[in-house]
Amino acid sequence: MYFNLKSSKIYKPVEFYKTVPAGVLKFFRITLLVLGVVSLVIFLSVLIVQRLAEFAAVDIEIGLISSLNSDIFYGLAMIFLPLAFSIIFFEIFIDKYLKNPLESSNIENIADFLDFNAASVFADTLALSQSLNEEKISTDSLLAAVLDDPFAKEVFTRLGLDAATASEGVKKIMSLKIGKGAPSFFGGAANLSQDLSELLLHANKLRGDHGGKKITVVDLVASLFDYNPIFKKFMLDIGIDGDDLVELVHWYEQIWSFRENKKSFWRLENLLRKPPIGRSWTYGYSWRLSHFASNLSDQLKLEPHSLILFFRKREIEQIEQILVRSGENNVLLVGQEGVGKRTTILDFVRLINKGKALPALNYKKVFELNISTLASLKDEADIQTNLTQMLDEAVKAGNIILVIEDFHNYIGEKGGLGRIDVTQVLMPYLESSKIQIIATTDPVSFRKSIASRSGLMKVFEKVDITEPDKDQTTRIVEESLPFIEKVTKSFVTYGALKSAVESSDKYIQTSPFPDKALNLLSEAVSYALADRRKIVTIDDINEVVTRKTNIKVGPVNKDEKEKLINLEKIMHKEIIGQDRAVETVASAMRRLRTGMAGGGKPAGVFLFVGPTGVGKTLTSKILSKVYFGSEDKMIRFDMSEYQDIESLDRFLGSLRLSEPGQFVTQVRENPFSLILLDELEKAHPDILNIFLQVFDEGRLTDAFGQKVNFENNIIIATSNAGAEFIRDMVGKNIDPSEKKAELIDVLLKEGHFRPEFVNRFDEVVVFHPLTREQVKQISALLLNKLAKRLKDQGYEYLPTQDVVEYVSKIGFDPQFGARPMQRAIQDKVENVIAKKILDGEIEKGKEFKLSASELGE
Amino acid sequence: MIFIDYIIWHYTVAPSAIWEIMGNYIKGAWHRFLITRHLQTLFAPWHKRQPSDLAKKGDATAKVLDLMADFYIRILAAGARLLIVFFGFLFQAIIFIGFILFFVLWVLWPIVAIYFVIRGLILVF
Repeated sequence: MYFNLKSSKIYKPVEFYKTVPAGVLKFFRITLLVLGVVSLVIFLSVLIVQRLAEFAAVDIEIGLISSLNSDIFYGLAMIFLPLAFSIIFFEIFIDKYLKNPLESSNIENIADFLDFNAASVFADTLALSQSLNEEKISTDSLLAAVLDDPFAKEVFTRLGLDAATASEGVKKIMSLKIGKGAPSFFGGAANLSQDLSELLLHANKLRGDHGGKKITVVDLVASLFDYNPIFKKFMLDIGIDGDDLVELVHWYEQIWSFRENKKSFWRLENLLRKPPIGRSWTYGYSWRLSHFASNLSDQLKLEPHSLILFFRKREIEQIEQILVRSGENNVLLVGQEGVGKRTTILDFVRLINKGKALPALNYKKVFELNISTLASLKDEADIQTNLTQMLDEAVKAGNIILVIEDFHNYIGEKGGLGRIDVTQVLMPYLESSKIQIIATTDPVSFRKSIASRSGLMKVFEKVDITEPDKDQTTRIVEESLPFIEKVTKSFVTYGALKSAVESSDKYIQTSPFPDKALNLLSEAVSYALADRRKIVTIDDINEVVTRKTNIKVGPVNKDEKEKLINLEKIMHKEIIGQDRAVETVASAMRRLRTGMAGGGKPAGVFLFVGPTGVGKTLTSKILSKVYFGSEDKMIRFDMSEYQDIESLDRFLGSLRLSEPGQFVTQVRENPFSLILLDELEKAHPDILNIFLQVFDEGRLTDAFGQKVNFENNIIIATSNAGAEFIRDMVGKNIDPSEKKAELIDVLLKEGHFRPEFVNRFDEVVVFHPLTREQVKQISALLLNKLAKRLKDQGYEYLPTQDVVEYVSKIGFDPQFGARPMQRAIQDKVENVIAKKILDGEIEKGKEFKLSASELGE
Repeated sequence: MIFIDYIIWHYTVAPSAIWEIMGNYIKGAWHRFLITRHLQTLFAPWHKRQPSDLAKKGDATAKVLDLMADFYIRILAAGARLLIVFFGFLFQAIIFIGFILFFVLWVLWPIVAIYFVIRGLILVF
């Protein structure tokens, strides 16, 4: 393959528009048309007035009218109008024919694959390259030309790139590299740089991948990422990578193709879009149905012309095939709320409206049953009668498809309009093929109320509407974006679109795709508009996520950076010793915040073992306080509450009891958090088994089939297992943290945990007993905390060294660690202070000290 | 050169496009007036409320009235449907004639345009 623009078929319109800019033809067209129409109108007006005057035999003395020679205006109209129409025909010729040359079967010249806009860009590229005397035409020249191209401007705005500023920057860089060569203006392949040649081949491959007939400007933009370092840096700086650009190419191909097709009003598919006249007359009007159901077909036909790409194509085809078959031809759509069951039904209705469904379904009317209107009737007999008559009417009409949403609400003992089981009324119709019914339900209700009823399962064919994955959700959001932008009069950058999908995947677990992504995007649009901005960027998405979830997302700011870098130092202000533990959790926090975590596992899974009262639980609390702002911000589970098998229902949820699990609910509502599992060894083995999957894959499915993602959590489990061994070591003055391997052996041998369970922890951190010095530091820390609390009340307490020593002596026990210290301070110090305050010995604003003897030493 | 390309387009590519567009509009009109469906369902029922809906249950007279009303309404409905079919055919005829005239004008356009411009110049000057 070679590249020669001049010899390509697309060169003709490019050359023409270089000579005669498009604006010139348009100017003449409009001017001549206006002049022609005005002349014609004046001529006809004068003619009519003169003829009327003749007819009425009246002398017209209206000066101007009587003096006007209508022939002049007639003559002018005869000059201007044919010229105007000739220009119109010529413009059509260029637009529809010259810019879209017929393809030959064997194309060797890559320039023949370029569309008009891409060819224009290349012409500009060659001109720019020539002006800079480049020896070989570089990708920099192409980049500068693309940035200046008005057609590509929309793409760059979508990417969030200021094309004008970027273009200046590129040209500045290029002006420093003025070469000595002078390639011919429309040179052959020999004049293209290696990178540019490969870029063209890449763009051609991209064209083939998305099925386009021509290489477009967007193909060139996407290809620049891999072949031009300047453009690559622009893109990476705004968070866009090569895959995003390829996705953008697919999207824009569809949008532009849609716009082109929409402009071509003479195309059969556009003419067929208009709803037929008297469609509702073809089978007659069903009055009872219109009263108790909403006509979805008519509601949707009033919709403006919109881009619908039918993401759920496979599911809609399934629905069609079920509805047209003989025998039981009813559909049961099963999917979580928010995955798109209703959207699928509405897309199906649109297909029917356009006559693009299977022939047996085209132009049928789709009604959605409004059970609440039925329920407002007098009594049970009345409801039953009306429902039966309505269904009879639908059968007689012969062209009705009925939709019943949340079908599970209307069957079974508890449901059924509160009084009757609608199944009995519906069953004869479900079993016949005279009327088709589409019902919807969610997976939990399906399992609970429908799956066990063989009668219902026989008459319905189940179609699963599953939660789309991230890529599919991106496509859905892309489809919805033109409508959102039109309604809100805003513009959403591609980065914001991508971020809406990624952030909702990461931080919002209370609803499924695509609902959560679309909701997040809508909220970001509202946020930007409230701020009087029309362009929605990644920052708006991040701000909305932070407000909704209290999770800091987006780039790490200066303050947060300082905190993360010095996390160990900050934590050590409240944790004495246990350096390894503090380092471990601080590192996990840094990985989580910088996006290094993920990859199918929690951000960090740690098991803290060691003597009691040395800071295992405290470490988690302090991390939560330092990073999330409060000790309460972590999710804490005391596993001693889950010792029996019945507690599994409480922990994970129970379909039978319709009870959501405590564990999954809390994690779902706080997706970016610290989870503390205290006294893990006390949990029932079945609960420990659940954690195998959580620690390994970072995911869990609850009793209701809903998934929970743990990739943004740090999990810390504490255990007093091996306490005997640890006490033994302490008794022998051996630091248990130096006997980690033996300790783990003990844990396994004593049956507290299985080997595969212990193996799933990123680290088992053994806490060491506190030294004398550390105990004193803890004592000082706690007394300073007391002093701070007293200061808030106005009392100035200054802890002294002897009090610190005394408290450290009475508040520490080798067996129980520093846990008794808080009690000791309460008993000895706080009680004394309280008594002195009451006695008036301590006054507000006056500094006071205590001595150890006062405390009882 | 581009002028020659235009002439080639004007007399080869464009005329077949005009025929195709005419075909689209005629098919569009057939769809818009739903001619096939209206003819297929010419005497289909019209489901408004029936006399028996307002009468007491088991009233035999109401049933007879149902039949009579149903027959009468079907005749009226057939008339309405035929009217739409008629206007559909009329619309298609107008489209056909209009496009034929346009096609003739298209073929003769260079001559027509020159004639009008010269005549216009004569009238003006």
